[in-house]
Formats: sequence, C-alpha cells, structure tokens
Amino acid sequence: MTFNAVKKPMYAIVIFGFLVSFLQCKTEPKYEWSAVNDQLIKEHNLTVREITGLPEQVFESNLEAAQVKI
Amino acid sequence: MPDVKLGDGATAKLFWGTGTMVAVIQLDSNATIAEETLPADRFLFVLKGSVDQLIDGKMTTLIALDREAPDGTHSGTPKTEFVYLEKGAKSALKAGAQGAKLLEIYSPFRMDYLQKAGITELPAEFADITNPMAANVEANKVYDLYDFHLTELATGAYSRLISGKNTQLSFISMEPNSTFPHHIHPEEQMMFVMRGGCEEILLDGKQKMEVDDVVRIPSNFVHGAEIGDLGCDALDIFWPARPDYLEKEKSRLQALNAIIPAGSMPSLIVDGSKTKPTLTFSEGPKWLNGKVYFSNMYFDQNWTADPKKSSIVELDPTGAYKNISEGKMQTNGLYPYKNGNLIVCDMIGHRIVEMTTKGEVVKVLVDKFDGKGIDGPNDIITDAKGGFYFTDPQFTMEPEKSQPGRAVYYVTPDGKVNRLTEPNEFAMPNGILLSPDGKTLYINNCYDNESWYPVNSEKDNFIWAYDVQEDGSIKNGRAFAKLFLTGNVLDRKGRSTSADGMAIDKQGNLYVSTYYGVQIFNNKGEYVGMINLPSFPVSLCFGGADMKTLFIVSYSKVYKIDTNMEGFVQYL
Repeated sequence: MTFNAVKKPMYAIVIFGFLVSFLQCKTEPKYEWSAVNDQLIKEHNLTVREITGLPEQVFESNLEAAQVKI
Repeated sequence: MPDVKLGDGATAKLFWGTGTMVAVIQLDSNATIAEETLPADRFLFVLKGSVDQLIDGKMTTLIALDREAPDGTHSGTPKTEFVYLEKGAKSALKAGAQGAKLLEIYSPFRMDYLQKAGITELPAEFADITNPMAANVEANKVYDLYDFHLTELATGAYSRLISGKNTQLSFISMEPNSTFPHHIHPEEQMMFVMRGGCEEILLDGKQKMEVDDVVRIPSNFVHGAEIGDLGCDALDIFWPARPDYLEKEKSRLQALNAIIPAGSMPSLIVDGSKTKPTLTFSEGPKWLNGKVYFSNMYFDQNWTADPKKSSIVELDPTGAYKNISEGKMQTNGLYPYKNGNLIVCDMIGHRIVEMTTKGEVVKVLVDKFDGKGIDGPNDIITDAKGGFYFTDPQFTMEPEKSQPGRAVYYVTPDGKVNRLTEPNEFAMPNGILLSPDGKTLYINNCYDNESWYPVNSEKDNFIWAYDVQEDGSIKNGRAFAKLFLTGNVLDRKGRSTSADGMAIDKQGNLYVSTYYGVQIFNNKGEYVGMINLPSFPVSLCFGGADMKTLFIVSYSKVYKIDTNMEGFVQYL
C-alpha cells in the first residue's frame, strides 16, 4: 500500500475504520463482562484510570477473570 | 488447581495473572532445589517450617513460626521470614527437617514453571513493565513480615505492604463484618485468602471466598467485599504496584517515626530465664530515681500463682537487677508514690500497699471496699492530688470472690474508696492510665467474649476513656481506641487483646501491651503503629535519663527501645 491509496475515498474509509477498531482493541479490550462493568462504573460514579508502561503483549492468566478458584 | 512437580520432594500450585506468577510450594523434609539463576524478580516467603536459601553466595536460614497459645510460663508471637531476590540472582533451596511451605511471587513469569505446568504455547521471553517503581525492601535482605507496619488502606482494612519494582504484595487484615463498597483501580489484583473469609463482590454478584481461594480481578473491574464474622486476612497481589498504597504507607511511617525513630528496634536487656534471680512473668514496670521497678510474678503453666516464688525487682538500665523483696507476696502493678516510695498492687494478697524501694511495706493503703475484702488489684495510677485509681479484674486463686464483680476503683487523697464502674461492666479491666493533664482516665479491657472466661461485656477490644471530675469520679465513658485482635482470637470470635500495662508520653500518645505487640495510639485514639516482639508484651514504662526509653517486660525478658517522646509519670 502506498500513501496514494488514501486519496481514494473507499480505501480511506476502510483504513480509518481499521485504525479506529485497532486502537479501541489496544486500549479498551472488550470482554463479556465489559458492558456490565461499564454500567456499574457509571452507577457507582467511579473513575477509570489507565496505566502506562505495561508490556505490549500479555500472557494469558490461568485464572478466569473474577471467578473464585480453589 | 493441579499440583506441579518442580523437583524431587517439591510440588507447587501455580497461578498467574497478567504480570505476576505465584507458586505455593510444598517441600518435603530436606528437599532441595538446585542452584539456578533467577529469570525474574522473586519474593520468597516461608509460610511453614524452615528453609536454607542461597543469598549472596551464602546459605541463610529463613523460618516461619506460628503464634503460640500463651500460658503462665511462655508465649510466642508469629514470624514469617522472606527475602526479595532480583532477576539474575543465584538461588538454591534446602528445606529444613520438618519440610517447608513456601510462597514464591515472580514478576514477570518463570518460563520453566509454565513448561512444568504443561503450558506449550509460550513466548520467547516475557516483557516487564517499562516504568518500575522503587521497591520498599532491599534485595538479598531477610525480613520478618511482622516487622512491617500495618497501614490503613480503608476503614477496617489494615495491611503490611511489600513492594518490589513491578509488583506489590498487600498482606491485608479486614475487620469482621466490615464492608468495602464497589470500587475500581487500574492495577490487576489477585486475592488469595489466608484466614477467615468474605463474600467478594464481583460486578453485580457475590462469590464466597474461604481460605486458599483465589480470584483475579482485572484492571478497572468493579469489585468490593463483605467480610464475614471471622474477619478476613488475605494476600492481595497488585500488578503493577499501587502508588496510592505506597503514599499511604509513607504517611503511616512518618507518623510512627515521629514517635519511634526509623530503624529503632527493641533490644533484649534481660533474659531472666538464664540469669539469677529467675524471672517468670514480669509485670508493672515503673521508673523511679534511675531504676526500673517491676513485679516478678510466679505462675505455672495453668496460671496458678505462688507468692513464695515471686519477687519485686530493681533493674538498672544497664541490665543488672536484683530482688528487693522475695517470697512474701505476688504483686502486679506498681507506681511511684509519695516520699520516693512505691505504691504496689499485692494482687494475690488482696491489698494495695506503700513500699520503700528496699522492699519494706510502710502501710496498707486499701484492703477493703464496702466492708468486704478487695480481690486482686492489678494496675494502679496516682493523680496529682494524691489519690489513686486501680483495676480489680478478680484474677485471684480463690473460686469465690469477695466483691460482686470486676471493677475500677478510686481512692481519694484521704483514703476513701469509691467504686467507679459497675461490677463486670468491664469483662476484665486491666491497664489504667491518666492523661498528663489528669483530665482523662483510660481503662483497657483484657479479655472478652471467650468461652473459657466467665464474664462477657460490651467493652470488647477497646481502650475506654472517661472524663475525670474534680472529686476523682468519672463520666462520659467512650470507646477511645480500637485494639487489633490476633487471627487466633478472631477465629474463635473472641474479643481478647490481652491489653495489659500501658504507658503515656507528654503528648498523650498511648502505648499498650497486647498479644499483638505494643500498640501505639495518638492522643485522639488513632492508631499509629506497633512494636513487634518475640513473645507478647505484658507491660511497659518510660525511663532513662531523658525519659525517652521504653522498657518492655514480657515473661522472663525485659526489652528496651528508643523513642523520640518523653514519657509522662506523675511523681508526687
């Protein structure tokens, strides 16, 4: 792909859409609990903060999120 | 979680979050883990038994001790030793003869542990955070977790915080029936329950958590907790470390170090189990004319007293000591009195006497109230007018008591005895103090809500404060300071702190001897910090040339520790 490609409106929309979705995925991963979580954050008037400097790639935990395990 | 074999005689349960890995390792007797180079920063805690750990090229023993049930001759406070080794450090382990249970926390991960756990799709390496924080411990140094001070993180939640560069361990104790409402933080949290339990609020639901349960709470995940009636002790592992917690710890240490200088630790000056005269259960120390005077009570394991084996001791600050009276009475609390004499609670003799520092009884000050004998006067304090207050928790050998219940009394300067509290209003009134201005009387409650103790009260694990009236009477009783309960007491739903002797400085800070250690509160009743000792402190006093040294008695031992505060004593 060359820079000229973005001059074509169709390509530009696709690329823009890709970038938006990529950035959303990177900073705000969505999980099945995310919608409820967001709702509760609003309900309890909580402030979301983010941390910088974390590794780009993370290794998957063997603990399922928010599931108590023995 | 399945066991993962780490080597011969070494198995582990492994769990990990996004940036931190935990291994709960069981080592058989004398099991070894060969020398290796650590691939990540590691905390190693000894939870049970002992282990020899290679540190800086030298095998060093780390141990864990459980709290020992106290009896009349001994007690033991717990110990959990740990060391922080950085990535690249050499490590080797050998378990002690009784084996060991270890807690290892790595950040980031150990590839070989994951392989042993059967994980096949592994990256070539694990990246670490790029902006690590300063650790609050030194690498390669052995610490006892109990020497770390409890920091209040929220109302009803106190924690010992241990931070590495990239992860933080919060050994948190949450009070029975406390609630921590919905909240979030950006750090990932793994919560590992170590005692008691809770209902963990996770999103809009709750899940029960008991000992050894673990839960991972992702970044900015809405959670909270409702603590059960035993309270809950847990290890929270945060990745990365929480700077807000470190700020709270900093504030806590600033307040504490204004009283106890940073690095000041108790030093043993007498071990009366090894020197003569033998000390058994030391009590009631007070500073008078350059010496510490205290009672050397004799109890057997079952708390049976014996005045013939008891004495009153004069201790020089250098550690030299001698009996000034022996075999005549089993005394408890002392206080400086008129004419350079001592006022002495003859607990087993059911009286309070004035005594010279040579051990001669000058006169009996109190032996009756309301026409009947007093029972077991325990602790005592004089006021500026020459009157005095004493507690009588009826800790005496006779099954039938003379008075209708445990109580606190005031003796006016002209010798009239008044009972200030209703019988058994306190389950066990013990330590007693006056504020430096004489306007507030403090009384603590030693035992409460115990199946083995005959009286229950509403005083629980508090120090109570009262306004002192002109005639010495008291009013407006209120809970002044809440004393920490140890896990074993919480487990049986007791409210006993073993609060005993107390000391006060000129600014009104209170120092309280308890099972947990010497608990320190400011003049508003707010917790400041704690002095940890190998056995539980029974009583203490200020002394030394500048009155800034705390002398602490604990069974056969006497310790001292430097402070920045000048102690207050009412010398008449």
